[in-house]
Amino acid sequence: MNRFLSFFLFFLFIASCKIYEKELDNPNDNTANEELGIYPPSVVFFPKQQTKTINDSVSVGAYIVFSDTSTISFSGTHLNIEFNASMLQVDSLAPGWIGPGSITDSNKTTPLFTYSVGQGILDIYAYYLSASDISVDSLTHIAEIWFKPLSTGESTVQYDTSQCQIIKYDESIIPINGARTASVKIQ
Amino acid sequence: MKSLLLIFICFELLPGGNNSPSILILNEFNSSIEELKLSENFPDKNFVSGEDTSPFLNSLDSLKNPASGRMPLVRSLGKDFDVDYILFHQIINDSSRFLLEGQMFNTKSGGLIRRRIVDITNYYKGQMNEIKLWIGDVFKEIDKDWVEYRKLILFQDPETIVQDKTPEGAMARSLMVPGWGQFYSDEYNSGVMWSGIEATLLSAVLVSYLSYNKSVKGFKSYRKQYEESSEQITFDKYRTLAEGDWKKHKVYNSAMIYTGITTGSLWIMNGIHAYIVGPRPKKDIIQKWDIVTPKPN
Repeated sequence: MNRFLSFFLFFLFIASCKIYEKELDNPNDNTANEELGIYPPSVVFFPKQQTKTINDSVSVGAYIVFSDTSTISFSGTHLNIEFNASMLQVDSLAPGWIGPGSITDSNKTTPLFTYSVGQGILDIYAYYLSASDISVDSLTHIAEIWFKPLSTGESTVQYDTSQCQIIKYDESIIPINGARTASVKIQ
Repeated sequence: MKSLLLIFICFELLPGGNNSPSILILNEFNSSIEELKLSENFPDKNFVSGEDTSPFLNSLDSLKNPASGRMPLVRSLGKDFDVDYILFHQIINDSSRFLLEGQMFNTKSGGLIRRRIVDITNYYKGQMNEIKLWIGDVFKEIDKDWVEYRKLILFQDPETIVQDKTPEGAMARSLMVPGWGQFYSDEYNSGVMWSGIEATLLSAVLVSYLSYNKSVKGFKSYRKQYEESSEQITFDKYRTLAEGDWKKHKVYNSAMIYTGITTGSLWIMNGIHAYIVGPRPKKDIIQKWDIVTPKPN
């Protein structure tokens, strides 16, 4: 009996030797995005997926991700966001805030921020306004969007990159190289 | 002429030559032994029985030179009895054993030319048989039956021997607990060695497993915090920590596998070793004891 117990414990040790995949996926992390073939500058949502109840509020952040070593800087953006209008309804929006260098510059700088909501479409316009700098070039939080769930199910919030624009201070366009969606599950 | 003389002298000196050697027999043992009847067993020898064994009873080893210590006595007896050799036998009985000492002297030189001490378990008519074997060995006339008869001393029915300890038992014990089978077989050094090696390796496996487990927990925790962080500085920090623990969990995983394989292999080898050194009936039993100097009964 002891012998079988010893062998059982031995094989338990061996069986527990699992090698985990190095799955480090954060939409705001350009390194993780590049591993998925999404290159900067890219427009992403954070978090990438969430599960809520019908009574909860669904919060999704809209971000522009640049490479850590990027020298590209921008001054304004237009984001065209698509969502399932039968499941989600835009409740409210707030200008983004992500600390120094962000479009709101730690709330010290008020961006020009406006939006319009259509049937399953949300257009956001934001411009960087600062007395000292004319542009930003890092991971930037453009807006925080709160949706109100209308029905249960699974839906995707995504960018229509053909409609989105990132512009420099001289209004020249910076091409968007990638985009990520956000998955929302209402139960 | 000189060569012929030399050959003649050699023939004269050789025992068992053309002339039968005459031998004075001096026996010092109790009367329970039947008459030796040496003449029947060695028909071509002239045996003369002597009575007084007292000059030979003091220990030969107590003499300054055992080989030459009794030269005058032997020469004198040789002349008195007109014999070529003197054979002195002494038997000392123990409860289940007896000790036979045989001494052979040449009466021409007076020196000791052969000596044998046999300390043996008693067997039926064993003392008689051992004397015949001794004299047969002296004159190179050993009968095969005497040698066969001596095998009475051996256990006659070895199949009935019940072995309390077996190699299989040793192996089973060592497979359960490394070293146990060796201790069971009275192989204490190898028992300590095997149990020490296995204890060390099992500790290494355990340490690797605990470290692996800690790294996996750390990796999962940092990965969760990384995925929940939206700020660059925060998710960069957790990414670095998660990657560090991920690398560690791979290293400890390899360490655990290799030490586990080594432990398992040596565990099996330890079982095989226990079987090899396991207790078996011994074929060559040699008992060591101090030589007992024959004393008068």
